[in-house]
Amino acid sequence: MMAASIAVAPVLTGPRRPVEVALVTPSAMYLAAGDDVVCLATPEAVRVPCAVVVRRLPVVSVGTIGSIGGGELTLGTFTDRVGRWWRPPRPSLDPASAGDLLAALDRCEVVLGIDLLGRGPGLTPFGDDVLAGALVTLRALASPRASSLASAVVGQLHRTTVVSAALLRHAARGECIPELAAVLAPSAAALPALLAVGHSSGRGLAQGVRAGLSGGVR
Amino acid sequence: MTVRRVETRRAYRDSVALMQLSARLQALPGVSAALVAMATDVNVELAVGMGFPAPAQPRPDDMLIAVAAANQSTVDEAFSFVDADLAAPAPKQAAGTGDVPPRTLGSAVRRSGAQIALVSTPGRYAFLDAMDALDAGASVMIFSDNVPVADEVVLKERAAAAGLLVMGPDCGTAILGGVGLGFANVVQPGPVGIAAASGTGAQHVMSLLDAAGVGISHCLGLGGRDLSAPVAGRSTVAALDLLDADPATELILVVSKPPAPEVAEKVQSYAARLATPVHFALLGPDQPDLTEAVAGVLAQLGRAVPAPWPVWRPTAPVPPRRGRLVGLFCGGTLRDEAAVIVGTAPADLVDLGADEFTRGRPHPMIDNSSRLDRIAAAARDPDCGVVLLDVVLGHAADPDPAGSLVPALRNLADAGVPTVVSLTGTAGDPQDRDRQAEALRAAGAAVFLSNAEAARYAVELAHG
Amino acid sequence: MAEPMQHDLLHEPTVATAGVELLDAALDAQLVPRLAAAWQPPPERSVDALTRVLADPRRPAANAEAVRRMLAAGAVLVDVAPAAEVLGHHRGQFCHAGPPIGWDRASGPLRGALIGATLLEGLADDPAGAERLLASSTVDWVPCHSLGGVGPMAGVVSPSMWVFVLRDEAHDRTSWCSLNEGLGAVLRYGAYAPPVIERLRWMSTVLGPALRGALRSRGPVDIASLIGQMLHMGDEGHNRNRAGTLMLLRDLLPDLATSVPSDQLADIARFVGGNDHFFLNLVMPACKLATAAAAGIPGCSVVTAMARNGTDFGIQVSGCGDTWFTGPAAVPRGLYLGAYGPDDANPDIGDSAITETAGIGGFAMAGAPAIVRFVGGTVADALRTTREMYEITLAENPAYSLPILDFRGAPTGIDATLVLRTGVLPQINTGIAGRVAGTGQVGAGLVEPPVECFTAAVDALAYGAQP
Repeated sequence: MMAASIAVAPVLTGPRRPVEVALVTPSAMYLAAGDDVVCLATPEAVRVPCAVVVRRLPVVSVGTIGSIGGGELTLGTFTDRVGRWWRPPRPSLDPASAGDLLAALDRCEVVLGIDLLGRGPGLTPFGDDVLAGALVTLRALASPRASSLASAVVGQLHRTTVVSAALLRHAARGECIPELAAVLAPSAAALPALLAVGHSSGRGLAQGVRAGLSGGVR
Repeated sequence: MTVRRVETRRAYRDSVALMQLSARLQALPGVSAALVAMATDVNVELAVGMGFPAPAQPRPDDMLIAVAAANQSTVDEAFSFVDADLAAPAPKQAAGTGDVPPRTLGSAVRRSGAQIALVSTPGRYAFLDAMDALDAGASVMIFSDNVPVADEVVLKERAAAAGLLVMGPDCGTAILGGVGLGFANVVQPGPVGIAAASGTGAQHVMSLLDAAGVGISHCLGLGGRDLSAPVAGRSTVAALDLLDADPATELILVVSKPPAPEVAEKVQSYAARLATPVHFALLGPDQPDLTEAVAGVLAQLGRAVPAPWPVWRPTAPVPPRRGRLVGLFCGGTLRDEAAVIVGTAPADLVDLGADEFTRGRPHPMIDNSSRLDRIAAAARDPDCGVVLLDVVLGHAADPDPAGSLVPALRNLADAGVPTVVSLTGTAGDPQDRDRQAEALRAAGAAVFLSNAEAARYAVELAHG
Repeated sequence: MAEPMQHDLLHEPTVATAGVELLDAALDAQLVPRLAAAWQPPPERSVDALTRVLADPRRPAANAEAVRRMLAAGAVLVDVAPAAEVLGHHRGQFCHAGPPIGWDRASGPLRGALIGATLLEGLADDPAGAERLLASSTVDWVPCHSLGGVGPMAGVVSPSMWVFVLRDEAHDRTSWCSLNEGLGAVLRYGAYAPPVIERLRWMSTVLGPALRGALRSRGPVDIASLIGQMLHMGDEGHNRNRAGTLMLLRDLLPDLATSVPSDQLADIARFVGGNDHFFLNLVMPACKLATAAAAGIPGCSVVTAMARNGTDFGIQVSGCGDTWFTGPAAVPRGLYLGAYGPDDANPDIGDSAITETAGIGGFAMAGAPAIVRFVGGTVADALRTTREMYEITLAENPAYSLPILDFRGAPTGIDATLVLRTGVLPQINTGIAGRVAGTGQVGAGLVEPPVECFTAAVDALAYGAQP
């Protein structure tokens, strides 16, 4: 059985539709049904807001077409049902409590500054991760700037990859991975775990948090 | 000529695994009777009742093996079968510290960092495991029953002092953050938090809410006796606090049989001081049934009550005939709710999950075989006016209850006895609720999602 | 005072389980991280007693305090002196290893050692006379433990024997132990022939005073620190003490050299350096200090002593003070030297099980895998033994760490209730004494206390009864 994010319940429980394998990594597989993206993830993989956790990934290649809906997913010989639902974290943050976290992020600057903004290798372009981090942070602060940034980003999603676009949509709603939620508790001690996420995604998200906080604190 | 052999072994397996082993032994060609069970007084009595000689000085921590067959070699083969099964490597334990698994629940809690420990060891020992888990810093769900009430109070006092929760004893159902423990349905996250002193009662309520499109934040079990005078609602109060503090819970529903009056008052005034609204579904005569309680919750949330609640009616129903209402339940609370509705009309309503019926037989929620005999008897009984059954889906329950029931239901239909089924299950359940309902309907049963409606319909069929 | 509720309970918890596999399978289907205990029922006769003990509200804090004290205890060698001075013993008083025992029930090695000590003190002229005296009960003997000390094997100590004196400054406590005579035909194995007595005299007139002089010159030796180091060097402190012995010799040699006449120095160095177990007699009182610190806490189920007298195995439990809970001592299972076999073996004897009581010895076998050459088994067995001991203990001692287990602390603080609930008995790594007095060591192996000791102890904790 599968453990699915409630954020992708509409596509999982709605009418059966075709779904295509868009991207395959050793621990995750992104499936796209139009604009709806679902990430099949093993238990060890990063738990993105659109993740559906399975014990083992099916052995299928990019471009394989399966079907999704009615509580089930089928890809080749793989077929499974949702066994439980979970909520992706939506952190909320009191700006007055974020001073220590901001100071810790400033100290990380040397590491972050080395990375170039803009497109690079990896699942999601670095710039998109920074934006995602900022979006989640502004939502967490319930900042009035959250909605304007969210609509600006959502309006430009056609300029990036299908997968990155899907994750930015979740970020625009304030939904994030557990490691980012832990940092926004707030907890500077949770930063190392966030920075270790993915190839550079974690660092991008941290940059975004810093940007969101600096604006928020001002 | 029957050859019998009875022995004990220093070994242990849980009761469900042993029942499965007994069943496999009984299925061996030539074996007329077989029992593999821990040598408690009850099981030794059972073996004696089956015609076996009592073992000398049996100890409950020994395993009793008894086989009867037509000849010695069949008996010996059966024993080899058991020994091979016992010698098989134990089910995989989590790795991490070499090949030594945690030997106590406390050790498992510390090694895994678990926030909750699930205790389903035999009731005689369950206190030790539960206390061990509390001392290790985890809340506990005690699935086991037959734990003395004084021990329950000690556990709940210790838990309160440590800021932990004890769900149970005799708690069959809990859902924490979407994770189902015990017999639990697949629910969508939503605004209703449940605190229940009844497992099947909670499952029924969640099933109705699911049909109305309303999800559950958490379902906390309280243990069947929590609202009695000696236990005084200790876990109920703790559960109310947890749910009140949970941002995802907008409304709390407490499900229980009628509590001791002073406990009811304490708990209700405690609830009144919370920020979250609390509804009480305290079942009994002159109290709203579970379906009505759910309707009240939906109204409070501003959500529509399904009219009607889902029902699957057979295309060619068996004509009603007057007679006794025979109720065969696997959920005690569902049976009790039906009994209140049936009132004084002629009826036999049995909870086949009760202790007296589950000695040496699997619980009907896991396996229908104990009900099948009674259904067959009802088919042969000219005084039987209707058969009323509950079918409960979800994790840990029978993977295909309709499968085993359909032949028996067809048999009933052929004998002219109508069947009514109360089906508890959600759209997401592993058994596929709609497919189960459809199979039961095709076999001639009228299937209701609401247990109260099922009971009322059955009364109508049997008494006009 | 109630703690605030455990709120993280409601966020997709990790689950620990004990009981029916069916419920584990339901959790696995939901991809919930879970760990099942390999559970077995406790012994039937102890279920009610265990329930009472686990229900005791004093117990968690009592056990935590016992463990805290055990881990905080220090052990520093401060003096070497005659037993008469340290114990206040007079002629005709002796102590011995294990729980109390009379002459009729005493085994060969213990009887032989008492005979030897009687001769040493000049209380009899010959062995036959010594035997008559000992059988007549006009002399008395008590467990070393009852005077705060320990002795290996027969463990017999008499007034003129010199003893090591160790201090735990954290708890203001002193312990002691005899000096190790070496291997072969020695008093602690029940030998009493003239060479044995002569050696004991030499130890009292030359060795003891020399060690005292060196110690006074150098200052105290931190034995706990040496134990921590020896565990990183393949010793486990009970059956393997070679590195510890050499480190002690290294520490004392310069001051021995300056304070002892040169003709004695060679003999002393040869004596100490040639005895791989010399350091055992320092490890033991160090462990005694740790366990004694944890003794006498009401409601506490931690084991504070395990000791054998060659006939009985006895344990003490913190919450029952110095009450002994005994059962028959078993013959260790292991490998025999030369032509010896199990028929030559005496039942388990000695106070050296105090090392396991404090978390080392057999409990630290993972750190001394070479020992399997002497006690039997494989290296995997050695690792597994230590891992099993974590299941019956309450703490890990950071001062005594095991590199092979990523420097995990040694499993310390045996909980009597865990022994009964898991069915796992403490594993003791020990020498095997010859049944006939004076034979010496016939082998080495593993042994366990009889479960009766723990059953009786838990009963006493539950019902407050004396055995």
